[in-house]
Amino acid sequence: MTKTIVKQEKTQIEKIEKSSFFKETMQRMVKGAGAKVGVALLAVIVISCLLADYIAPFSPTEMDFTALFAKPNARHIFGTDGMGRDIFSRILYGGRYSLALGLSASLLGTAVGIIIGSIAGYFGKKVETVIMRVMDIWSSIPTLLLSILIATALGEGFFNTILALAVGEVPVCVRLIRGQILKERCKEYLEAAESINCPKAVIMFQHLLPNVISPVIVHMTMGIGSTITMAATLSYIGLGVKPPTPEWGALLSDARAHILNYPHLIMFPGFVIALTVLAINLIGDGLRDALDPKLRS
Amino acid sequence: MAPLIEVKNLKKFFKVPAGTLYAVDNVSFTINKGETVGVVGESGCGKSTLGRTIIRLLDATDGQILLEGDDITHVTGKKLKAVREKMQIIFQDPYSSLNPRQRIITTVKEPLARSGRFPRSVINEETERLMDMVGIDARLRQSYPHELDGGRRQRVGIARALALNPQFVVCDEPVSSLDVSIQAQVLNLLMDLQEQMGVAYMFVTHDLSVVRHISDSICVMYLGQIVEKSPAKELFSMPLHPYTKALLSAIPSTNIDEVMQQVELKGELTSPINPKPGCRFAPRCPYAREECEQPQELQEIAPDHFAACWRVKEIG
Amino acid sequence: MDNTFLSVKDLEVIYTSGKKIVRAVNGVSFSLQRGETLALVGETGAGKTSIAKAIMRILPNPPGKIVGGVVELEGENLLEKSEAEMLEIRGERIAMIFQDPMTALNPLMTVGDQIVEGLRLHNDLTFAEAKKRAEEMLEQVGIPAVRFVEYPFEFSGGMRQRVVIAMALACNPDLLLADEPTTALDVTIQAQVLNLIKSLRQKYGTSMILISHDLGVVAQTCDSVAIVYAGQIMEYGTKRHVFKNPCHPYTRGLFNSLPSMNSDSDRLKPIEGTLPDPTNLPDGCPFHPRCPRATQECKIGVIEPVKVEPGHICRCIHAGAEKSVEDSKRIHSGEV
Repeated sequence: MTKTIVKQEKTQIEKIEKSSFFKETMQRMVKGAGAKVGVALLAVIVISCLLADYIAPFSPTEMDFTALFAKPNARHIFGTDGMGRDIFSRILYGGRYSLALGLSASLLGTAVGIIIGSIAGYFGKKVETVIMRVMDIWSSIPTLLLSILIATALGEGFFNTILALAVGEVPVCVRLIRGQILKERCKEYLEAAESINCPKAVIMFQHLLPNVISPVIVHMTMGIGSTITMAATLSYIGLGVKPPTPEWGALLSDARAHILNYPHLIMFPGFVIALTVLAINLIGDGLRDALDPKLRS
Repeated sequence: MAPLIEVKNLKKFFKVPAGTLYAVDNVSFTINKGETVGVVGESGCGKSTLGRTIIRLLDATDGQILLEGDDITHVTGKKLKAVREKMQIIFQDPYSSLNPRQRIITTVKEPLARSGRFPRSVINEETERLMDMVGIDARLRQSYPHELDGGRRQRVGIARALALNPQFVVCDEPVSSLDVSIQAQVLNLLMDLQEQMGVAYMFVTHDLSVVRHISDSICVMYLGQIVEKSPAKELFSMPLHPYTKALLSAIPSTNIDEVMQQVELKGELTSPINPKPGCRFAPRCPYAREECEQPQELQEIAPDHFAACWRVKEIG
Repeated sequence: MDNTFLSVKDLEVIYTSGKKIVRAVNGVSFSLQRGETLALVGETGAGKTSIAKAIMRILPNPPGKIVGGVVELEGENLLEKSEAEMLEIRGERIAMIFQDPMTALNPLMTVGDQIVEGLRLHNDLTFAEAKKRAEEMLEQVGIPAVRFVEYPFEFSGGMRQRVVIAMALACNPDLLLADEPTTALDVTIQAQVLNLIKSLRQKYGTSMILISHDLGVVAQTCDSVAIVYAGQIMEYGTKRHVFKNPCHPYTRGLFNSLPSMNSDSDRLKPIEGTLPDPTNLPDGCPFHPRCPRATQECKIGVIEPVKVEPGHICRCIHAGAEKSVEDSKRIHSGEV
């Protein structure tokens, strides 16, 4: 009798251990109410954009000259722009570019920033000095200018645009991570890890990083919104995604001229961007809480 | 037979903006198998640095560390790895010495896994055995550190340190942040484990009653130097160095009928940065003379009882 | 008329966090004579600091709240005072010394200005007068008056604690609450600071409540002792009562846990188990899960304090006077 109980307990323990860290974190994350809303919201937005071919009532470039600057109505639920293009359809199609651009550029910038920042923070001394001075120079160039430089140098293309957008994220992220590590690096568990022969890379990424990553996650989710608008700026000056591709930022900048007469032009794309950013922030908060075992109920 | 640990003229200096900090300055002593050497001193006297330098968490500036007769002062790579498996450390702060994002079972398992010597099944068995040994209930083993109290966390730290069956463990104030009732449990545990495993301890602490209880011999440190070295009980019955005397007299006794005869010291710890040659305790010492400006050597006053003070016989 | 100066009756403090309620102080009563020193002894989370903060009315609210009891300072109930009245009382009549001298001082103000600020808040002094008094206070705690213009970071730990003491005593308060004043200090510095507090108290006739976990410090500084566990006073009496004739199993457990400076016993006799979860205190005596003498009666109801001898109170149903003395002997000789 007791034997079977012990056995059960053992298999249970093994089960817990086998469930990967990732899976466990995800399970914990979706338990939070905020994260649930965020995931649902983002899912709706992403799926609608992916299924734009089926959902959108018009092609994004189709012009309806009978309805220029139409206010929202039954035919065009978000109205039309100055060329009679359906805004709802343009938002759906544009989302494909904007979401992909925003997410991948933020992720890439953050990932690079985390790696450089961890190296600077953990190794300290000369390595840190060199890295931080480079970051100072890097961040002294205005982000927009830097992005333009890179976009011009690399030429057009989706991936080049991602690169151009990601560079601005890196120095901020490096600073953030390094600051956190400076606070954490005197903790004794790192010394303990060293004393039991953990290689430096393991100490850095397995022990140190999970304890310093929370603010970076928050920063990243906040950054996605501005990356999307930055993509718009690039396309406005003829870099990045070319018109007439309906990209969200481009929708905003097109609408700028008509903001007083036709506010719906800017309202709907703006609302969708805000909604996306909100969803991602909710997920980010949920992720941060899920990563912290202290907030586990 | 060579002693387990032999430290010869060990020095550890740090460069700081104001000059050189003499954290450990010319320290020599030995630790035999299964023995406990206590190192006492006030904060900033270099006792923790000494422990960390011996187990190679810090690199020595000068001097030698011998482990079973082999010089390990500068070993690297595979040899360092092997050395670290024989020498471990238990930390002071049970709150910062465990990774807050790691289940405690993972923490205990880690040294076994890192050694690369055992198959998975053995690692799992060993982990359970270690947890049993330090008295962590099965239901708590999947917890995160913040879910445990200080005493239990310290037990996890002990299990981690003893996982690879080391011969030597530096205990860096392992009980000073614990409550009195829990402190006694952990001290008993450490002593029981020493009896079972034959491990030698270097017990670093500022608490004199604890060090008297657990040690075979005691080194008293002041600003990076050993000022007195003695068998444990004898240090308390016959303290020689003026600093040791002052330290002992400052402990508030729990016996309410005992009137404390304090040796009141002038001032506070002087800076360990660029110290003057000569006795570092002299500026606070009630017996200081001009001759104290000369460097002091440890001299054997009684069998195995050393003190670094030229006036020790006079003061008596 | 008795000379009771401060009396605390049935004080209750709770902390709320979410839906959880932590009963930090559960019906604590004691009184203090003028010039007397009382020690509150206990382990982490026993509620010692909450008691002091409740007297001072500086519990952070929320989450902390005083839910019952009376704190009378010379017959006036402090718990009924307005915040404005308390401002007058704090600093002037009651002062507090905190454990960590670094966080108790403003790092951006010179130590002199910090003492002057307190002085001028409570007294009608010009800056020059206050400065003179502040310099006197610094000299009294053994700091040269020229250091008036220095910032806290320029002082060592022990010196900072002296500054804090100078600040606390500058307005000549009637009652000093000292919360682990020497825990962060080295033992030789601790001795200096304790001596300093003692001599200044004698000079000004200040009463003191000393919060400590260190039985040695308590033995050397206090007149009476209250042993606190899980928000209750387990044993209360003069120093002689508690140290020479401890009646409560918890008090005895504490003494037995200490490594002795004189005996040569190899093993300590710790109290088994761990401190109770403050959100979920056991019924009956909060100590019963760890108590070697616990019986069925200990697990139910409220354990009332028992008078063991005049002035010596013990919250234990097994605290029959003679029996306990015998037990204490047995425990000390290691038979139990």
